[in-house]
Amino acid sequence: MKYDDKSRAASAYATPAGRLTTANAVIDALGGTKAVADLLSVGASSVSNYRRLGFPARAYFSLAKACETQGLNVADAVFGGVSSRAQPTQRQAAKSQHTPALEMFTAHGFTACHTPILQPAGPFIDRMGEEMRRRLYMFTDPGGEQVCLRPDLTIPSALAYLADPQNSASAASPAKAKLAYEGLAFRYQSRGAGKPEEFYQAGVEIIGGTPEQSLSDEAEILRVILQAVDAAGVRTYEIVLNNLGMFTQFLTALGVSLGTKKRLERAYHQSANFEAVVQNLLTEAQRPQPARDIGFVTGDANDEIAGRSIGEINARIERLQSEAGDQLTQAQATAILRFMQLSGPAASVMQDLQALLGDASAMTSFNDDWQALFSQAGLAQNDANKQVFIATAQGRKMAYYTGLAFEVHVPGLQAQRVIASGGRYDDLLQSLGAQNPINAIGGAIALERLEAASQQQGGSL
Amino acid sequence: MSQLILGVPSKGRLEENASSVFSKAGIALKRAGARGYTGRVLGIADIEVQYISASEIAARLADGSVHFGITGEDLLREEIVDMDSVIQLVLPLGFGRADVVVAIPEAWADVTHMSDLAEVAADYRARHGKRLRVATKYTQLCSDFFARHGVSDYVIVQSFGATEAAPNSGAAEAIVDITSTGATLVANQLRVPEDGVMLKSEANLAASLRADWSDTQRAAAKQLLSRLAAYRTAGTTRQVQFLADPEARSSLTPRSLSDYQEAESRFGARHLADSQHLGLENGSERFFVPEQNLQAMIDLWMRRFGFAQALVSQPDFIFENRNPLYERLAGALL
Repeated sequence: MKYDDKSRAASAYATPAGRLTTANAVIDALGGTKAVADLLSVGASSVSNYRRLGFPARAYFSLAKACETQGLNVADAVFGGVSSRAQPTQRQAAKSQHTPALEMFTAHGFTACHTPILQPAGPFIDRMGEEMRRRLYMFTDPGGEQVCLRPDLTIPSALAYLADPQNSASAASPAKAKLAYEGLAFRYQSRGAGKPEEFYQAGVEIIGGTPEQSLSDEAEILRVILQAVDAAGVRTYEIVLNNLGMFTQFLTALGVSLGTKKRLERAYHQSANFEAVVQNLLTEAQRPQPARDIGFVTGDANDEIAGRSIGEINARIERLQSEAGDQLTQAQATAILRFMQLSGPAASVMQDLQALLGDASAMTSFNDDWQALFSQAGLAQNDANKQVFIATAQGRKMAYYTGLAFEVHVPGLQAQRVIASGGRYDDLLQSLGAQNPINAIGGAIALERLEAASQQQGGSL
Repeated sequence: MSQLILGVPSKGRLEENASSVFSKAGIALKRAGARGYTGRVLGIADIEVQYISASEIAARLADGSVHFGITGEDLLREEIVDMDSVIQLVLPLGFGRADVVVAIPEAWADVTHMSDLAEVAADYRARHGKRLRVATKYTQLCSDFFARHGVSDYVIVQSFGATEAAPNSGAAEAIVDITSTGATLVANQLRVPEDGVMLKSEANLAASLRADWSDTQRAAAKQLLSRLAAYRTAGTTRQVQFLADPEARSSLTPRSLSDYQEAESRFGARHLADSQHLGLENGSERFFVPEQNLQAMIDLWMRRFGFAQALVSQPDFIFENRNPLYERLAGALL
């Protein structure tokens, strides 16, 4: 599952006395706006902006060095994790977790499932998406196999499910399984990010449910995850939901052409740089048409050039020609970028969609689904301590999610606010070797973060 | 007292070109024996030259064990994570120019842009159940660039030589490689998509922000950069002297202050300090003009003021009171 989150640039939070955690505090400690402006050879107005927006990357190194010279204690995050000299990475052992979460899951009919920490790297490289891929601890073992330390326990659980003979590729109808786990996972973090690289997860997966059971399976996963959070004494949190299908439906309702839609969907799931992809599409739309006036390749349609047949190349040229003039418009691009920002209670997100599309009838089925999920999962719409939000870009970078994606946030934990997350991944098992698509949904809790949230809110594990 | 350390490629064309630049700048590199691995810079004490394998200079800059190094920007960006916080590119040296590019088979006529490659890669994976292979030695640059262009369905195949042969030999479908003329790509039936140039690289004098910089070392750096800047500025600057026909001096149109100001704002021309006086005496004017504006300035001034001749010469060095290269470095070092 995903515990990826945006750190908030200039927010101060509780730290040891004397430690500077904001650009504002650093500027004051270095002698004020004028002194820092001189230090960086920039104008005072730039430094005033840094107070609000944080320092630009080019200033990190100089400032880190100046702070070191003056013996100031500055949080790494203020300088984007840059410090004035190369630092050995400080790793901490993950604390062995024994939480009631696993017992709670098994008490709800989930079967405890143990998977190896060392996993074949292929499935993770293939399915986790660009951003997660970069954080994979991967190496070649002495026998020559590419292996990795598991970055989460979902793909390992899915592989374990498929390894069971009754669910194997040849099985006519795979059985429904409810799996639970607790264990270590590993993800590279950029230096100074202040996040642990090894951590414990406890989670649940329901694999092999029928389409009719989709809603009740999703509700069940949400219920047990939230119960485990509640049981840890965390009383105040936010539940942030998304359905990745909404993006596709939104593009259709906007009337975006098929080729463009495919590219936007890929960018939505894969690219850290979604806005750049939209910008590229707009630039292309302004490109003079002759750029697309490509001649067909001559030769036998079955002849292959570097893995692509001439027939395949020509078919794509034909499609491009038929789509000429079907490019993304500025209005569509603006609507899409606004869509990516939508976040709020379900009712207000639906209103925003109405405003963006003019006619949101294409999206109302999602609203019906949300209402059904809220009622089945027992999510109240008016509980100030457990607010429920829809956020249309949430979960998109977890490339294998196909439908529902959720996160549980404890805002007080700042950069580590995401204490649990999960989602639906209906095509993962087939790409891992199953003969047919197998529906699946799961969720996991980051146990160290759960504990931190619990302590902050005065609960106990 | 420790010296400033300058890392220079130990052999090959990079070494020859680096030697040549320093010689022309009047600070020749003096190697201790033809095969020695140390040397010095003539005319500047307190600099030790270390001759280092070209492939290691980036790493030495990154760990701060050399202060300056001469190497390609491509290698610096490939090998140093978050290069801009570790290295300052002090001065491009004008040699070792090459582009790091994406190249695809010429016959993939439908792939004119990176966005096409993104789509084709996705199709390829859907069709073949495996990812498109990209052969390269630039794994870091490649994955950053592909991520920026939304290309996600690919796998990098490490290549340490003859990368351009990979598509024909079946080792990969596309490549990311360095090219200076593009001839090798054409010979291998490869083509660069229109937006497939990742980096325009050349050899740079780069400074390590992680090295220790004592006062002695800073002073040596200041001298070195002053000499290089003097040479570089001179290389792109021409001195032009406008002369009137001796018989017709009195018919010259007088120049006013605004004419000199216009010459500066429009052509970047610097009126040489003593010539205003000279100009009054004998109708001659001298300027430093950036090479690229020389012709336009000559045309305008001869026509407007009636000069008979313009004599152009190239200065060997232009030393300045200010040393912007060093100031920029010192600013990053503090």
